[in-house]
Amino acid sequence: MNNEHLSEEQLQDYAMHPVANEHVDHCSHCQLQIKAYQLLYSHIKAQELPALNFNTETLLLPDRKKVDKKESRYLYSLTGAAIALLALALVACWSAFSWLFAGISAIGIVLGLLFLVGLITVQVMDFYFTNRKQITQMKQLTLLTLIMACPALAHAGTDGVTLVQGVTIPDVIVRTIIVVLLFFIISRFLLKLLKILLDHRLKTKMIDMGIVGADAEKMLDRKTVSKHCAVKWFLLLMSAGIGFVMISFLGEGPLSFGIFVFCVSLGFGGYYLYLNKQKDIS
Amino acid sequence: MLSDEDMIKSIMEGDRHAASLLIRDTEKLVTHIVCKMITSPSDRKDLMQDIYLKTFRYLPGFRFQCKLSTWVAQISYTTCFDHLKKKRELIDLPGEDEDNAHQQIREDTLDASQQLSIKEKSEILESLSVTLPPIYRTLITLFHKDELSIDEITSITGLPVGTIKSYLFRARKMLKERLLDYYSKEDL
Repeated sequence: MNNEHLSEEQLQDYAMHPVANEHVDHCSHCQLQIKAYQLLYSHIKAQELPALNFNTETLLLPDRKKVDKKESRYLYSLTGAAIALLALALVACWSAFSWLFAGISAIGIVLGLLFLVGLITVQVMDFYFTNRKQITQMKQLTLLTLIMACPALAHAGTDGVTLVQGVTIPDVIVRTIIVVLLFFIISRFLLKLLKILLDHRLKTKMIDMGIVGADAEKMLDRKTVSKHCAVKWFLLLMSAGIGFVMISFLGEGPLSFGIFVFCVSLGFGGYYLYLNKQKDIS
Repeated sequence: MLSDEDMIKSIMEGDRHAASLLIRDTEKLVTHIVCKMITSPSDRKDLMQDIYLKTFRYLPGFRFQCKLSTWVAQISYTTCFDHLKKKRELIDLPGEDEDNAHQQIREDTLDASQQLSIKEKSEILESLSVTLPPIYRTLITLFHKDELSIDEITSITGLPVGTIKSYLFRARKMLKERLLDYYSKEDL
């Protein structure tokens, strides 16, 4: 009979896969060691899954339905509040608005009012959706609007703006500039609104997908300013300007709205062609 | 039952059900790794979150070189390992020459201890392995409890086959000695 004890490695293997061994059958020391290993294996097998004080699934995939419902409720109330605010502002500042749009058809005024609804809605929604940095940006735009509106309101009812040396800018030019700038700001707000809504949808999707870190930052990068931005605004403002010139020649009326929209859409079309061309070049 | 390929495709298309299915399928293995390597409950929570966020983030890059569960386990191990490294909790692994003197124990004590309940056995093992290096604890659980092959453990941990076998050998030996000590004291 082999009197040599099994090595530690052999003992471990024997405990896992016992095979006939003459020494083990007669050696109490080895038998004890093997039993100890077998006991250890049974203890490991008996290990219970540690109890965690959280649910991984809930932690990573929150119930989107509940969140969406809550957000929809907020959206409806914000839109309602924005419309009420607009009606109030209209009543309070009617004289200023009537000067700005004097001689412009009712459709033009309605159009302007619709843009104002958008303006207020965007501001309120922006407050809800975006972070502090974005809110500061919106404040800047609001401030800009107010600064622009002040001289216009101050000159309400006059024949134009009188400069230092007695040169007067005609009233129609002042009003055109204000309206063009108003359209510029409103368009910026509308674009911002679209971006907020799309970002919100994107964020929701990203949370559902669990995308975080560098990828998420890349997808939501607000610092990236398109190099084509200047071209876009050049085309849009130019087409809006052409639209106003055409309106002044053809006269005001329901047609003026169509002319303006047509010119702006041409601007967008031009921008699309420009982008396609740039893509082909690159 | 979705195949790994179908599951990844569905998750990439934004299917929440597929995402929760992946969590459910791999949660047990991930929990084992996290709980064996990390002791702090709050760290465990953060790491579980981190592991699955990484999984979803890198899912498009999965190349089907191993099972999806093995890949998730690999992320779990690496994340926990990095966490321990950052916290400087990766203690030196003991060599083979550990003091193996233990009290004399009667064979019938071991026989009787086989009759313990699952909960009791689990508690005893937990108390014995608490001071074991986190890597040893993890390897023991992966090999003996989750019944993964050495090759699978190599994929998960990135350790060479020889190192894994050596660590497993040392861990078993240490645990066996502690177990014998435990029962000899109980016996007394």
